[in-house]
Amino acid sequence: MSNASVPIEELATERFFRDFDAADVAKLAPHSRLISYAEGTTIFRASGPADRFYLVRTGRVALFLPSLQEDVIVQTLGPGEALGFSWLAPPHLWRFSATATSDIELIEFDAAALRQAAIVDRQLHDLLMTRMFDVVARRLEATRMQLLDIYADQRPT
Amino acid sequence: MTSTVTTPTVLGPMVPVPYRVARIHWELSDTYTLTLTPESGATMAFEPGQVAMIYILGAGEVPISVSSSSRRDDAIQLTIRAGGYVTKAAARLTAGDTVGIRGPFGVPWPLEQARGGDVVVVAGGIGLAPLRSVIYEILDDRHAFENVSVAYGSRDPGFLLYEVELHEWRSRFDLDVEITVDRAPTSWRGDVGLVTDLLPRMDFDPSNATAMICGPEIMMKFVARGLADLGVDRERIYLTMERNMKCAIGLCGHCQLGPQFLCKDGPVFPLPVVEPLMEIEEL
Amino acid sequence: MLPDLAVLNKAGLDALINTLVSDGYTVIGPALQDGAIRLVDISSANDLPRGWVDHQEGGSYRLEPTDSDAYFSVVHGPDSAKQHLFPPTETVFTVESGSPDRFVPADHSQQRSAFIGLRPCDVAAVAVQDRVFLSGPYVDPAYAARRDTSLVIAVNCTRSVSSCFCTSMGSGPRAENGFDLALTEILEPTHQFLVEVGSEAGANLLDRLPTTAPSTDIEKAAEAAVGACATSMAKHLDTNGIKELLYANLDHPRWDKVAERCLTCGNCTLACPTCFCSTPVDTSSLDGATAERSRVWASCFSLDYSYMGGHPVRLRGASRYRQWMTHKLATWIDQFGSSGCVGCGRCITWCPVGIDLTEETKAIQAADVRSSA
Repeated sequence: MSNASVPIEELATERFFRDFDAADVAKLAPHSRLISYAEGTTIFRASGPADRFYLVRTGRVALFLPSLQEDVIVQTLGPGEALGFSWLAPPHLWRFSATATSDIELIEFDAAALRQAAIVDRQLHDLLMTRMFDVVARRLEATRMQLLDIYADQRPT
Repeated sequence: MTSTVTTPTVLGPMVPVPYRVARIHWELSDTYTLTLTPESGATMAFEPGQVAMIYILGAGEVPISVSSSSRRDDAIQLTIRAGGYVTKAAARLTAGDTVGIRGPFGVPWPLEQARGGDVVVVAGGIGLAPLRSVIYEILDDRHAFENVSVAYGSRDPGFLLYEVELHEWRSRFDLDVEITVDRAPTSWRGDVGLVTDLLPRMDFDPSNATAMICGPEIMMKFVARGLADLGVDRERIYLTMERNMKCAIGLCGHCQLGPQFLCKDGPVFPLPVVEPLMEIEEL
Repeated sequence: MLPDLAVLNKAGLDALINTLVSDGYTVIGPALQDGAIRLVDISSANDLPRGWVDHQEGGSYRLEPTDSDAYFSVVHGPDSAKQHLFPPTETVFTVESGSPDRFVPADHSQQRSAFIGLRPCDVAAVAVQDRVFLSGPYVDPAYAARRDTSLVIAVNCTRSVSSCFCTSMGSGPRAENGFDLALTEILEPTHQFLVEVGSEAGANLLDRLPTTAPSTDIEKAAEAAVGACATSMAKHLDTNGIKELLYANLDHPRWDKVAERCLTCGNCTLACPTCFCSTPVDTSSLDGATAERSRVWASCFSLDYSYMGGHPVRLRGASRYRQWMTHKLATWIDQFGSSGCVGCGRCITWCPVGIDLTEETKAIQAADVRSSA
């Protein structure tokens, strides 16, 4: 695991940054680093401090809600997808737990540094918020579709 | 031919020909596959995506997309969910029973057009059945296509259709198969979430890809939108619509969707033809 | 040498019917039955509703006797040729249970029918159904068998009722084609019929009847009578751009409005001479030894019609009325190259609450979403 930040050109290729220009990506790059975890590693736990934000580079991450009964995976994330939105707003506590279900590579950002960068730079703030809103909205849309249970049995005849 | 049974051309498209049940195989608790062989003469020739009407003596008739390989000449296979009166009656069939078969009917998947380019197959739930014959066809002629991706969405890990085939397909190096479910215990190693979310991860060139989608209407709508967003030509995104086909030959009126008769103009349509129709409630 | 003109007198009309009967045709013509004019088997001109006239308007059908000698002064009743060419119920095949089961298609070699007194709108309706059942890719064998052997003797209209709008649909009051013979009934100065030949079969038939050559006067009288009928028609449907209009207005509030009145009874679909929807009905004998498939007229107004996967697609009455009207006036054009409406007005007359599709169309035309956008 390296502590070196991810090169700007490399970050810019991430789907998450497709609407950012190089200058904006450059503002975030210093707060990033590349990390990898082995299959089965817990990346974060529900209720823990949400001080990181991730982009999945390779592999698969499962988000789940720990429960007294069997844990249920609510969503998995793969390459190109953003992991974690609880860092955005107080109380900065993770809502779900995340586990690597394969060997994974992530780009990790220091959430406090991202928030600070966004406070001082209105344009960066707007860009980040727009992208994160899209992440949350898609997560909500997916949840609603899953709730519809569209593959279930036909309605009773 | 010395058989006394009349061939389909003589009986016309309205009269079934007898097929014998060779096997009934339960895929899921409510879904089974019938393997059917003709009582006499040749097995009906069909193209993937075409529909057969299966008649159960006295109970009635339902349209089912053929799910076997179109190159197989000994039998056809129909995968059926036991939902209504006829499909529940068919679930009680045993080997040796006779059913009536009419068909094949309708417009098949655009396999000819897909040749030479990438193929994206997206299935939801029992929608994998009409697409299984597409996958067989592609694998039989694999060199004719570039990258082939299959995305399959289902309810939960216990609701995966054709598990044996899925295992086999996933083990191939010339086929990218991704599976996602709506909910899963933590023991599940696959994906959880919308089948739409699998699309950006799949390796296809939007400029030459042909997409074939089958599943619940709302899922097809989202998938088609996702593929178009990724740059796939809307004219090359195909989906299969469902209405209550009765005569299957465009004469009874039941399967109309706007100006389209699903039985003869479909069930497979390019997205631009059906997209505006899907937006109208109760059309 | 078509078209040929000739004149038949009253005795000639009887001779025409007699010839058809002796040629082995089942002659089907208008007759007073069940308190209405029906299209039924007739054996002589005496069976025709001589002297009767009809009064039709939204939700109302009344017959009135007059002292007129006219055979064809009733415009029409609820029946059309559809009743006979595409009967309300018929067997498609039977099954004998065995090893294997044996499927036996229904026998379509039936009696030949000669229709006499079909109105121009109904002749046009036969052409519309021909396109549905015969133009492919699949041909309906039962319909084809009946059409192949049928003869059409049209009667041009010299009278209209208030629900008629054939002039808007280009289907009347004069039959332009689709008939073997077309008659125009003239009462003054002599009661006779101007006969126009529409086919070889019609010409051959006419050859065997006692005809005279037409005078210029009778031709003029026929033209004037049919022309006066056209002028008398009060109801109109503006078909200009109607397909695009209805396609663009599938979410129009008028559908909900009409649904407040519509009983979804399906009378309009039964009385319509072009409605062709049917449902296969499968039955079996109690011992399971035999089974039968019949096909029965269906109506897009029934919930059952769109039943799929445990629920109907068109749950609301508004959706069902919209399906019927947009099919008739718009999608039909894409499907079969012509309107599905011939302007006979039966759907208006036989609607128990008098819904009038020309009015519904006008309401949508008046508030087209494309112009308010």
